[in-house]
Amino acid sequence: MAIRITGGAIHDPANGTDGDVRDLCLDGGKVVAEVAPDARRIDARGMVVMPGGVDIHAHIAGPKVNLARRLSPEAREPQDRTEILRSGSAGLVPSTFTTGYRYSLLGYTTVVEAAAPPLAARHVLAELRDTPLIDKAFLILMGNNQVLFELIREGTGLRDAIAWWLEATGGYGVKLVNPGGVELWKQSNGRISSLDEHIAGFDVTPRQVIEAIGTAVHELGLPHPVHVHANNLGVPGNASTTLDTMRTLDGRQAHFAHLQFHAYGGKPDGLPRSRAPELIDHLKAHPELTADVGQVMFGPATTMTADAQISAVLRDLGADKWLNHDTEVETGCGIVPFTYKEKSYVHALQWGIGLELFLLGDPWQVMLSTDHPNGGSFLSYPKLIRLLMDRAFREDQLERANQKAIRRTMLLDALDREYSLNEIAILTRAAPARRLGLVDKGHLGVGADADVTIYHDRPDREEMFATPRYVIKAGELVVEDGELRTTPDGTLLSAAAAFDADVTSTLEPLFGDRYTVRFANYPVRDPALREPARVVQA
Amino acid sequence: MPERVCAGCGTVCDDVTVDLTTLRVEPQCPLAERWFAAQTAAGPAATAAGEAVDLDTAVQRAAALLGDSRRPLLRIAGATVETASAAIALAEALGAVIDAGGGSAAVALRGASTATFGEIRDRAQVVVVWHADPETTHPRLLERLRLPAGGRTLIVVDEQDTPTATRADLHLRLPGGVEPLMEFDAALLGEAPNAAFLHALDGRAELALHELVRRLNGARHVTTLRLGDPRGADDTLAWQTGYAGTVDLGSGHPEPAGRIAPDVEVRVESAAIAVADVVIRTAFGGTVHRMDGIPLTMHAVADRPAADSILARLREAL
Repeated sequence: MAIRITGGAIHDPANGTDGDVRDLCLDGGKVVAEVAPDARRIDARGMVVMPGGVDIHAHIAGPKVNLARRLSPEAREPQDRTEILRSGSAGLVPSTFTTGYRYSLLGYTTVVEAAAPPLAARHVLAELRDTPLIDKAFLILMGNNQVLFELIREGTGLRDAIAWWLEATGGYGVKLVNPGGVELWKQSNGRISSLDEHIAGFDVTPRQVIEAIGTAVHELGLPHPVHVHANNLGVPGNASTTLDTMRTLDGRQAHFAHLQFHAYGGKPDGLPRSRAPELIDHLKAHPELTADVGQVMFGPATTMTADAQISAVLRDLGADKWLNHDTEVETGCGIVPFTYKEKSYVHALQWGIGLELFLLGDPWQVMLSTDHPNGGSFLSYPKLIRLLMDRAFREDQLERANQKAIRRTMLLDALDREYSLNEIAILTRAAPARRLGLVDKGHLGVGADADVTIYHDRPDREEMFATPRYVIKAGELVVEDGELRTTPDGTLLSAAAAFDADVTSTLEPLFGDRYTVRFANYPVRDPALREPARVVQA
Repeated sequence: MPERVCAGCGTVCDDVTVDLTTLRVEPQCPLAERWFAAQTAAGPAATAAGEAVDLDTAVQRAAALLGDSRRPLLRIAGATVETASAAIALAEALGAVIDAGGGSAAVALRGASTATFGEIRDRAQVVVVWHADPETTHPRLLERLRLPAGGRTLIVVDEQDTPTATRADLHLRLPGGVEPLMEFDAALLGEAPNAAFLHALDGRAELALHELVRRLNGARHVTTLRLGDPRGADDTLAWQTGYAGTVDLGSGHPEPAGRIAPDVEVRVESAAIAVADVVIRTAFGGTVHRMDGIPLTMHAVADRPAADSILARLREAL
């Protein structure tokens, strides 16, 4: 169906458009130059028109998300069945159909599941298939993969193996989580604190893993560079590890996940302080690096991570619930429900560091995330946007937080920045789409996907971003006035790079010794799980 | 002969060869023989009250029974992800209760530490089988975990001389229940930095096990594995509704459900779907989750309608 959106203020920073009032035409699922006079008209006068939201880092599907559902049945809100909607339940970890509905109602049209065990790809794909309305991609966990450790030590076959793994799973990119550290945790609750420690049982170090995989992904030219959850998450003083990791990857493209959790000064057993300014300085000097923030929002969250050692730390701080799950050869998983408290020094500092990263950073380089649901639900993005756009609101919130922590940030005196609508469009759309290598997303130029969100231009930015007036997905009007009108499936986004098919003769014996699944049964071939997909070639 | 996947128990072996004429299975396993026999048994496509009927008649009769039902119950334990999806959609349309045979009150209260087979096989120096008998219920599990083995210790806690107990390095005749778990002596694990418990517990005993494992998990790394059916159906119920186990869809949204007294029961089994006395023979295929959660693709061996297609037809016929 052809649509002409008339009279809206277009915020399309990727194409240099900052609030220009003009018509936007959509047809065949794409942005087009012109439509026929009988096209449906959407009157957007007085409204703000942006590309659909793109979430570069969230946890929405797969075994760990589903274990979190099992862990917290009490914390759920019912989602009723309607003529067009499947029933389900919402909360910090919504059921799959509800996840798609809520993201769409928020104006998001593309979401990346940031940590999937490749061995569980069928499960991840099945959940994503059941998550309607959004286009979706997943990153495969490779930083603690024993087979890759062997290839890194031998110095051979790594690029082909990574490309094979993406082909075998339908994944979109490569994720490292606490490289080497999760393997040690699974062996004997061990941990790693320096990039040059040896990973017991494997003659490699975290630095070699980071460098080898980062280089391989860079050289393969995958649409999204290596996506790094650095070592020592949450540990005071970890900014040194983060900078060391960045330097290890210098000159190669890389994305750093939830940078807030990796931006701490102080001594490991002491109180953390902020080193956000140093990290931002490093990023500004290194345009090949990007990050998302992983903002914490005061209130309930669910921590879920492949970095299972962190979950055990939270368990020992007195968590009621703790879930650990070890996946052979590849990864761990830890889940702990958690609440961030305004009056807590540590939590207020984390909140403040996140805001520092946003307010000091360039939105093309430092993107919006709460590491959903680790720092808070994706449903809190509108409030986060208001914190960035509305200084008076931010100062009111600052006053409520632990003052000792806030005084140790730059928020009180130096940072009076207020984000513009175009800057919001950058860090929630244009920048993540560009970083993901999704050339048809995150902008409204001719040929872009017709994923469009239209907001009332309200002074209360939280209200504005929480309730889009219209959401259009692939040219279809899916949300009108806060209600879903139709629920198309959305598309799986996969990445592919050419590889030497003979890599399987290297991989098969390594698999046979380690996995309890036959090599031939590992790759996902079922079209019902893999399609419809858009495959982005390296 | 091609290697096949077997869903005869939650181990879901994917290295099985079967001669579909003689039903000889390699490696040998009585549950695999039974499973492939049920998949390939000759007989009518459907029966009603024991009499052969054609498929269309059976579907119409089953749909009529469901249409008249006030409180239907669908049992889907062990089903594939695709079959579970079709069953949940049917249950939603009916406002039915659906039981996927899983869920755990203990996990929902306190969590758990769990692991896939490979983690236990390659890391756990001590494996404790707690009041379970995998040699009977999951005949190839010990073999797949390479137990018993030199350098590792297999401890079986059971009052009975079970087939599993006869293979143990150490057989402890402790009673069931909560107390032996609360009083478990960590010294039994010796110096092992990594240990695992295999169990089939629920309720308070399962909670006591997870509390024990949580306590043990400081100095060493300890995990558990619950022995049961393939769990894809329960996983699917959890992701589609937010709740594992038994879910009531009667009020238009999912709610956790306890025991109910259904007026019509639908049993989705590996080789048939039964709606009261109407039985439709089906093929089992799609995505199967092992009891440790690892998903595998299984191709149907029988030339019968897929279970999910029958469930979809029932929904359309309502």
